[in-house]
Amino acid sequence: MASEREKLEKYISDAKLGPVSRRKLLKAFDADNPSPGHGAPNPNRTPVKML
Amino acid sequence: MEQPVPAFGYETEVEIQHILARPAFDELVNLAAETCLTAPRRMELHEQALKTAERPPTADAELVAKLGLWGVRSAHEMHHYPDSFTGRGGSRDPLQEDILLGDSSIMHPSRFSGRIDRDVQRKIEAFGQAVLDEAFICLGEDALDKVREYQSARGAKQKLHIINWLTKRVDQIQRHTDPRTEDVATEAVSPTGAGAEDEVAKEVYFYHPARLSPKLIGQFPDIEFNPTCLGVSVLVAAFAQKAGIPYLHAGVAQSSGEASREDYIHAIADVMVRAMDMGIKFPDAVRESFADIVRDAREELYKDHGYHAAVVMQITPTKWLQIDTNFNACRMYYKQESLELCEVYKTLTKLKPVAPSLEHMYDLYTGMEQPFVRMLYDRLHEQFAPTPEAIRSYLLEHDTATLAELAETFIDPLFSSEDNDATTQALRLELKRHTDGFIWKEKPDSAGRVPELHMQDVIRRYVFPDANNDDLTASLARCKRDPAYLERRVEDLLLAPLLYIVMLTGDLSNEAINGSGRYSHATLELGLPAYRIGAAILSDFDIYCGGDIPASFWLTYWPSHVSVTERIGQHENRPDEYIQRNTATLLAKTRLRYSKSHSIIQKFLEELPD
Repeated sequence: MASEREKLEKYISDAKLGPVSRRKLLKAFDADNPSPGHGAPNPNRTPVKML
Repeated sequence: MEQPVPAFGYETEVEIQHILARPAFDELVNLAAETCLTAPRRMELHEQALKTAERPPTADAELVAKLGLWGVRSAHEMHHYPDSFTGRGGSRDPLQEDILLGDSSIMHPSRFSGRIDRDVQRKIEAFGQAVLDEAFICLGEDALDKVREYQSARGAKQKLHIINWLTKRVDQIQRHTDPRTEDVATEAVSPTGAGAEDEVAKEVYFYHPARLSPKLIGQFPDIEFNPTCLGVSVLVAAFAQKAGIPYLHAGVAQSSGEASREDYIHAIADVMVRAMDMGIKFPDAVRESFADIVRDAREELYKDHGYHAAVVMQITPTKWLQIDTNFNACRMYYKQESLELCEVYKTLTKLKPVAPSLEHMYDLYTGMEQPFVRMLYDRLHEQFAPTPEAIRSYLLEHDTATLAELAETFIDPLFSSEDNDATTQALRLELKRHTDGFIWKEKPDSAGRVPELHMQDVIRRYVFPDANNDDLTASLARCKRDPAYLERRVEDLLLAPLLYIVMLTGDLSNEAINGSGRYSHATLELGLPAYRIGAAILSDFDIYCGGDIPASFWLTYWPSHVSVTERIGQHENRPDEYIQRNTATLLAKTRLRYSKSHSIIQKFLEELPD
């Protein structure tokens, strides 16, 4: 079964997009990026330590 | 806070830099529009409409020109939260005086941003507007009927009914292609499941800006990809926009869980100060445990989990809602909180013609557990305050006692009083909330743990570790024949109520962290939706697919804390660095900031050359 990333890559490859946009979007998969952007799908549920 | 001014003419250099960045910005808008919109040309219609709606400059325009957007937002935040530049309960910072007296570097807008080109602002807002139009389609064919139902609804109850439909629909879209099965989801919320949830998040939610695209997400029920948290907030915003609901888009600066971690740290610091005041010494083991707890809480608090987004909307003149399906944090605000939101909304709307990009921190945090804990402290001091003599007498006068009985002697005076004053009533109510299971409801790892049990825990672990199960008979007998043992127990029992408060705070913090309390977020960075959504999406696309636009450009066109921390340290040249340095210093001075910003800003400022 394809991973989410593979599915999205294929989708972008097949989508109606100009070649420049497609190239940039595909390149973004391997972006060497220090920031996770708006990518906080789940809150940090790690509990605090108790006494 | 003023930093060394770079070489003469830096304003001109910034302006030239921004003019040179325009082609990259236009290219970025084209990329985002092509990715997010079925018909990118619709954006142009919005752009044209915004241009037509423009009016000649007003007094507000003069104010914005004089103070700049960072200055205006700081002034508004200080007006709403006089302690915003001091810290909760802290002393006033000279910066605040400077700003109020009008003699501060913040009065020089060019030190925080470049000159504003309305054409760029219009593009950002028009893009956001077009994304909202497109996102509405994602909600499904029946969404328009729901909009009409909302518009004809009478009263809050009927409207809430439609909003419940909306949150359910957004949740369905969000989970439609989510490979997390029910089994995995169950594991993720197991008592020790936080790590499991993180692992799932890493695997599934790799970040890509295409996940913000309503065009790629698809129309319910034919969802191609689940949106990110920002994408989810855009779906909610799209409904509010279509229905004409007054609403704002929000960056979650501090969630309830993050606020609770901070509270826990404060509670431990408070306990240490109180113990010192009372002349009580901490055993080494307790001191080490405190240090470990605080270190761990800080680490978690400052971890970079990415930015999170939500929506707040008004359903009646005095009722606002927070909608955040991602964090399971959808709730109605209290009346006072709602009225404050009305004020922020009015301010941002009034200034929209001259400052559509303006942001405003909304700090509704008065503490989830703090009032309760504070009341306990007060009671401890005012009415309870066990003395060494009283404890010594108890230990010498009793031959038999159980842990439960001893715990009660400490708990009862805390929660009951002959005076039926407001504090006593509030404490009784809180105790009822806890013991009725309101707080600990559906929490498998601590079901049944009520305050008395916390006190028993404390006494068992820190006072009588030698007790035979719950029976203190042997320990009480030793008190009578071993004076040194007795004195150590007296000291430990003086400390016990303080340790009890730490334990209770920790438990309440974990309730907020695990989400079962459905608390509201503590601090939100609010902005007008179309502009904020446009800027946030373009910024994310730039981070991942572009990167040719200087940081000072974003600080100029999106005066959000996100713009400061997202590109921190990525300055092109001295003027860019100078503007970054000033905005970072401004953020370092305010308590109203994103939790994760603290360490990012601190590191940046420490590493800067003098």
